[in-house]
Amino acid sequence: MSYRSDLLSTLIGFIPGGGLLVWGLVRALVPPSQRALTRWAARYGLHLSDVNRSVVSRYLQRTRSLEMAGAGVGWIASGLFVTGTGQFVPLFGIPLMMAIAGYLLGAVIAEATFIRQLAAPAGMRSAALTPRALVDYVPRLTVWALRALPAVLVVLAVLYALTPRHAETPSDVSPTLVLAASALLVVVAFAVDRLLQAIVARPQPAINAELMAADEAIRASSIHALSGAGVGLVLVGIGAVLFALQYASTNDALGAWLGYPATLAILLSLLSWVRLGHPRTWRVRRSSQLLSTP
Amino acid sequence: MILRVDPASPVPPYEQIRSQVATMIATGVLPKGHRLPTIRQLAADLGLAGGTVARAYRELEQAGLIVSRGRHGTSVAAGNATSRRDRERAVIQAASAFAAQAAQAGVDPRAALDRALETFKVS
Repeated sequence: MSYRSDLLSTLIGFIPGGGLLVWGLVRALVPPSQRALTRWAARYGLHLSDVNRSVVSRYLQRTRSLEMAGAGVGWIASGLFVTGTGQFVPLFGIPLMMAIAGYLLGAVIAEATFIRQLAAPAGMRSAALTPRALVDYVPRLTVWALRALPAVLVVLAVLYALTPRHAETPSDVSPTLVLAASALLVVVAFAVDRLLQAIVARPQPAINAELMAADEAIRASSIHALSGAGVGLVLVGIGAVLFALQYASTNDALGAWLGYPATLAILLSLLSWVRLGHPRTWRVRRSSQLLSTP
Repeated sequence: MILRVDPASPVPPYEQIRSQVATMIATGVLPKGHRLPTIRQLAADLGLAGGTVARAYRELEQAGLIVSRGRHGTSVAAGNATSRRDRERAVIQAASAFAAQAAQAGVDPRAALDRALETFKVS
């Protein structure tokens, strides 16, 4: 193991990843502050009350800690890869991809374990007479991005596999690896899409208006986190393949130009993860019809 | 617009759904063109089998109260707009049915009214 690879793995993997992991663990122990609760509620147009405050607090504590810890573990995994292989990761953006993947996994675990707490009590059953649809909770563009971007990724991966190589190409990435990684990302995007549909379809506790409003906000927040990370993950994959194409291209002009869309894809992936996953304001579109508080 | 189903009631769940939706349409609570949840969504929310909700929807459709348009979902049928007098009459009928059901079940009228008021608060 060279001194250079040790230093690189520490710098790019263990320090930021460890920081995220510790932050996530701290969040698991400390409930969200009153200010954080109020800010989150304002973002989703939710009126906090004695009925829904504890549910929202538990939701935020669990999701934020698991998402942050997941991102940390993912980032550390990229550092472990560098340490294990003794070489710098050839595909640009791998630490980011692993962090988003870890965050996504954390969000899935949080969603799967939290929904049980929202179950309606036994006895009288109730339901709102209003249909729920994915586009009520997330912009339509996000839904389409999650479905269209995997196709772009597959086209680029096939293009990479067919591209003639420089003899002295600095890229070590085999076409098989790129195709396999792209196929995996397509599967993940499809799984995220199905999961979003499942979140929309999960039963709603129509016990009272305040709890229903909290459920709507929680549902929207979960859908944002998962779709933002899902789109981000595919975008970082597109960026990585574009960078690989740039290194492998025999056409110098094309190779130089490919760096721009690749960088843009990486930046968009960050933007998607941060802004689509955590919008500044979002109200469930039919909330005024459904949740008119008496 | 909250639908309630009491599993302990002698009235079958599909009939509870059908009668409540029919009343909501008759009283104008559910206006013409209002989209209803899918059978799957309503069944999941109420913890019932899909067939139960499907039967209620089928009977409502046969009565001309709702219309199913395949992928576009189910909505309140056109032509159900009622006058104020009709709506008041429908409320009186619903109240009579409610009073009769409460008396039949042996529920104290005041307790039944309290329960009705609670229902108003959440819907």
